[in-house]
Amino acid sequence: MTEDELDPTSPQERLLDGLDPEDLDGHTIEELSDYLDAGRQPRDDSIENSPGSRIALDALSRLRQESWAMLEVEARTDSATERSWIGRVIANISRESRAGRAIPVSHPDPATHLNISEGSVRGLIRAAGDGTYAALIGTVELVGDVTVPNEEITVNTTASVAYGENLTVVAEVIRQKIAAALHRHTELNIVAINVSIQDVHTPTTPESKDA
Amino acid sequence: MSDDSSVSREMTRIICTVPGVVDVFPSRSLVRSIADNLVDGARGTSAGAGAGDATVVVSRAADGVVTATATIGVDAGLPTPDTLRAVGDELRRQLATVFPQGGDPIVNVNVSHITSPAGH
Repeated sequence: MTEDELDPTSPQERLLDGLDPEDLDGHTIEELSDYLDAGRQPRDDSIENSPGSRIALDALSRLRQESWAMLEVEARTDSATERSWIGRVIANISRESRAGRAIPVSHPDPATHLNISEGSVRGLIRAAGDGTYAALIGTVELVGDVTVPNEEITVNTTASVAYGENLTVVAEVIRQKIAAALHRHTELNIVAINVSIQDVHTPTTPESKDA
Repeated sequence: MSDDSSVSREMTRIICTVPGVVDVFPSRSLVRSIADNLVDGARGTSAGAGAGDATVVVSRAADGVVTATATIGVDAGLPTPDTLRAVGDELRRQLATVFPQGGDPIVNVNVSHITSPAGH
């Protein structure tokens, strides 16, 4: 670890410190990260039985598998803006893992009430977008009253895309993947999916940057 | 009630077998569930099937109406609404069998986690 990573006043640490443990049933992103490091062993029921923590673990795992090492390099070497982006992604994972609103699914029997948590749908959207041409989803927002069937819902997402990719193409593919996932897994009436590319990350090493 | 506890355990076991269901989460607060597990373990009342196996909440109102509430995690390999309806239907069938005098049961099923396919 670099001194910067250990510095409790670094932007990343300040963001982590600011997270509300209530979002993850009392756990913090740091605890979940350590749990991942340990291979999720020994099993911790307070994490494994917490849907919010599980959604956050999914997102953290994807971050690590696809881009974590690259982003860590950037966090050590690049500007405060890029460190801030990583911190915001982590903060958003925590915030969006909350159960949120109950999204209804229809059933012919009025005494059978079926719902999907907003947090699980946000996780689904993030999973659909993450890794598309090495993109990383920053924020996920469902705009509209998702608790009412057939209400018009707009999805707003932000993403960071790898340098060199065609931003228009990447945004369109992400949009299509999100649309397909929502169509398959929800009954939401999606009227628009907005994908805003807010950052471009550079898959480079410190050595190549200095060259 | 011990009867409802055993029914809860059986409901939990059954919905675990519904295609697309990968988790059955505690429908009560996590803190309460963990505390109950610890108490059961200390008392030795779990009898080989811990309270963690009884995560579907089954309750009976004064008028006899039975309510079952389940919180599940599902596999994204199947459409989530299909899995939800299958679980709801299965719970209704089981409740009608276990509580034949209970009238029309109320069933609540919530998906709180969708497991993405490997790699996404």
